[in-house]
Amino acid sequence: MAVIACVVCMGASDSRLAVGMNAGVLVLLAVTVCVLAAIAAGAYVIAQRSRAAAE
Amino acid sequence: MDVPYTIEPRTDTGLYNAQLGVWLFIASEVMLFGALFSGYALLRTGADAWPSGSRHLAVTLGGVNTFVLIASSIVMALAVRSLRHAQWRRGRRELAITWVLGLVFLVIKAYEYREHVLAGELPSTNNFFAIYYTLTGLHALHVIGGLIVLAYLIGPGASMRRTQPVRFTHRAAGLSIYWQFVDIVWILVFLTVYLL
Repeated sequence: MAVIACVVCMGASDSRLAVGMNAGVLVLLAVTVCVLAAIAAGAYVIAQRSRAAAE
Repeated sequence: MDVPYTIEPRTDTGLYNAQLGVWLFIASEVMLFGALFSGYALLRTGADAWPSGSRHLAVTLGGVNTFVLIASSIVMALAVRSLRHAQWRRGRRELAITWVLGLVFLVIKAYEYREHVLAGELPSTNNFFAIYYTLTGLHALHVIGGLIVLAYLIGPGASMRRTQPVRFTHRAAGLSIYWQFVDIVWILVFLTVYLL
């Protein structure tokens, strides 16, 4: 079975390009987590308000 | 049938339509700019050498633009405050000042672009200028979008303050949230592209 290197760094996992790729993924992951956390927090606050209004 | 919750907030959530809509829009915008900043991190960290932004970009002009945009955000917040207190003339004047400050930002940005283009520094020059033009260009498009909505609120859209003053104020408040977001994005661009 042929083993094909990843097209990002072509097997050189310690190259600058691989480091850059990791940084890019981490930044996007951080942004996504922040947005999802904000949406979840918003949904929680709305649910709390709704519960308080119903009581 | 009228669309509900355009004026009064929902009793259970305390939100009105414009407020919820703008925040969802901002969430999508954060993802858009987040992807670009991610690309910037990839290119910069992955490069063997990266030019210093403060050496190749006009930091003074960028700093002036930062000041202009922060000032416009403050005036925008004051405009919403005035509208909430039914001070229409003052609110409209503050909206107009915000519009002028936004225009000043764009003029300075255009001058900056002109200098770079004349010096032969184009998006095709290198990755640094590619990311510079992409980030600042997309941001400038957002400023233009904000100015169009501002012009509508100051001009033809202002008639709503007579018929539905609360809804008009909600619209201005929604635009204010967007404008603060545009301001924050610029500060991030200035810090990471111009200064870092």
